[in-house]
Amino acid sequence: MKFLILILLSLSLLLGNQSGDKLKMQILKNICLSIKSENKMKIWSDDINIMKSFKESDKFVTVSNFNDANFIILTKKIAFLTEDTDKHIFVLNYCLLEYIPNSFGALFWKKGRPNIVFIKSRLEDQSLILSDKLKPYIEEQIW
Amino acid sequence: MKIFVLILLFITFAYADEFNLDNLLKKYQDAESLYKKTKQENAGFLVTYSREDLEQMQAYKLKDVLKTIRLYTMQINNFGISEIKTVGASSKNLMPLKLYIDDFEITSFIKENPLAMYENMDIYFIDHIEIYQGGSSIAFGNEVGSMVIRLYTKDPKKENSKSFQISVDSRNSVDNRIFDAGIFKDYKYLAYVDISNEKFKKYNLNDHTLSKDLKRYQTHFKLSKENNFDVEFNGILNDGDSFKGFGTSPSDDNKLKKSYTNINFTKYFTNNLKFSTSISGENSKATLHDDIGFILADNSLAKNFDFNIHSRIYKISLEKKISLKKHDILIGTQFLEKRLKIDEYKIDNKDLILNTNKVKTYMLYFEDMYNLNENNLLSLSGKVDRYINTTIKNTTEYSARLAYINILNDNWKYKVFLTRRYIYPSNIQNSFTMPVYNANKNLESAKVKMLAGELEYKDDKYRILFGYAYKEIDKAFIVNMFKKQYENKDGTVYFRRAYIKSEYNFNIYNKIVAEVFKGYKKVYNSSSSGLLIQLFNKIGKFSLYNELIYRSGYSISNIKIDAGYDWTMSVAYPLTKQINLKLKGENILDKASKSLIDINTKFLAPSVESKMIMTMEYTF
Repeated sequence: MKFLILILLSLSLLLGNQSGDKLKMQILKNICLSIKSENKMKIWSDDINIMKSFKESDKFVTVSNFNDANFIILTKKIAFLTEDTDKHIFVLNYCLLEYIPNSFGALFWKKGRPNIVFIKSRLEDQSLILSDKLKPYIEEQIW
Repeated sequence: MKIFVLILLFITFAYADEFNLDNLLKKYQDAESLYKKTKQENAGFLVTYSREDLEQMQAYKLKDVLKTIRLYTMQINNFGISEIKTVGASSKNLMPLKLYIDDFEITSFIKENPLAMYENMDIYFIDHIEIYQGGSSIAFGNEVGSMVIRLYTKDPKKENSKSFQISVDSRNSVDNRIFDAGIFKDYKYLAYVDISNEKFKKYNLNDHTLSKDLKRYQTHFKLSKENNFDVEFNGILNDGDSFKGFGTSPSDDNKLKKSYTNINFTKYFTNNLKFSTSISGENSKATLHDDIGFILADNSLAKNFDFNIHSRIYKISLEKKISLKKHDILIGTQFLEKRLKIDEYKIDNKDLILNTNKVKTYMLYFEDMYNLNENNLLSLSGKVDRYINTTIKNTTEYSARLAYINILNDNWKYKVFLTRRYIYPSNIQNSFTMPVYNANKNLESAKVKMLAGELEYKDDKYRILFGYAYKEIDKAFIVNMFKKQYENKDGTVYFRRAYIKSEYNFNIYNKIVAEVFKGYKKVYNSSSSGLLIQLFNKIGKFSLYNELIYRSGYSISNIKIDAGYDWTMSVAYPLTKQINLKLKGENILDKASKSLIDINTKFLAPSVESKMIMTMEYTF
């Protein structure tokens, strides 16, 4: 079923030019659908627009409380995030990969281009398995 | 359901390359491109060079872009400086061109031509370039120009990096660039430094070597807080050989040093009010000797010419935007003061007493963009400028512009511009001239009327543009070679210009651009027509770019100047995430358009030299 959803998501890209925000959400949703974890993904983000976009889709489970989530999408460092958290954290700023030791991947802008990166050791520590399409973005370490 | 899934699968595989994440990222990058936020469709016929274009073109210098502009030909003057001339225009024609870096206009008072200082500028810190033709917008403020070139710096929010780029070329030039941009708390910063040592082909004239080698130092700093303020500092220093200069037997150690610095501050208030102020300083210094000598305006002969000239330019402006139901209104005012200071001006070691000019300009302008409905935009703008000039009589000038944009359907749209503007006589025409010309204090503003239209067809793959312009100029500036001064021409001069541009996108990584133009006027003193073909390709990790620029041949005083063919090719390969390797061949056929540098000796030189450039970029 996930494969079908992926096709549907991708197909919508053929429908002419899309706004940057919509494409960012498409990328994030693609990423989330391509990650396999032990538990069902419960998503929370500090960005209202991301939460709204994920909520609109019935393919994702979103939670309004940080504590109830196991998959976090962060745009900035948040005060209540502890270093020993067992949540999977995906960040939207490359620097956060260094600041937040549990963060396993990032979508970020560098040199005028959007980039995706996943840190191999952190994926393994958190038992996260990426689909083949995400594997080219795996890096050994933060560069 | 099975059939549905099968159909989906078929479509998916048919468009397989559209589905990988890299393509999605590329689309995201395109959608977020800065030029999509800064471009103003109603401000003129727009030519945009996106960051992606500039990188693939390996456009290192502003002149790498200038040479491609339709309806213009790039030429070099007798000091080896690149200039651009409208189709058919004489080399004496002073182009009222406007150059901006972000919101700041580079205003020159010594040469009255920003390209005299910035044609060779490095553009590593620039994100994209917008060129407005066809009677550009009055709402840009400042004095109205025939063409506006806007350079926008890279957005620190999307940079977050430090990088170093070094280029070496086949003539042993070296160019070093350091760039850093990012976010610190609520502030965005950008810092850029460029140091280059540029070498060019040497020519021989009357047993003297002509060189335009130079050292260039350039910097740009910017600190800003979104919707709050911007502070920018920009500086450039060109220190080099003076090529031929005024004579035909220049000394080998003739030097020309030029510098330009400016600092500008902009404050954005919550109620759409914008306040800007800036100070610019300009210096031009030369020591010129010619063995035979050069003819002065009074027909006497001089062998030595030394000068050291400064100018200061002060600007203050205030703009307010008002958004009503169907109207977007801009009201603005600006004060501009240009001052000249001469430290040294010697002919054969004798000091000359010259007019040192000061010009104050008070400007008031407005623009009303009226959205008739979602497919029709009408824009009316007007500007009044009061000139207080210490050398010539004070005048009040006005400009007006009517723009209409109609979106016919999803594919077709057209724009029509009706412009009335003026060209104010420049400092070097009416007060402070080089010694080979006389100043004409009676020179009046030239009056320009222009009607221009552009029709566009666009779909997912194709984009085709057809543009046409009719222009008439009353009191045009011409050079009287007997009186050796600029004068207002009696009667009206007419011009017509047309172009066709087509783009075809094979996919998101590959496209071809072809453009052809032609100018129609009575006398041609430069190319009357031209062609540009650009091919942007990606093969695996390789980025490829091919460019062919054609400019037609012409004659000046029975001296035939052949048509020019400039083929440029660039290849780039990202070796690692940090290292990017680039190779570029400029004017590969060595058949680029040439400029007539000296009429007596029939000395010609190309504005684009044939050379190879190797570049390595390292991102930290």
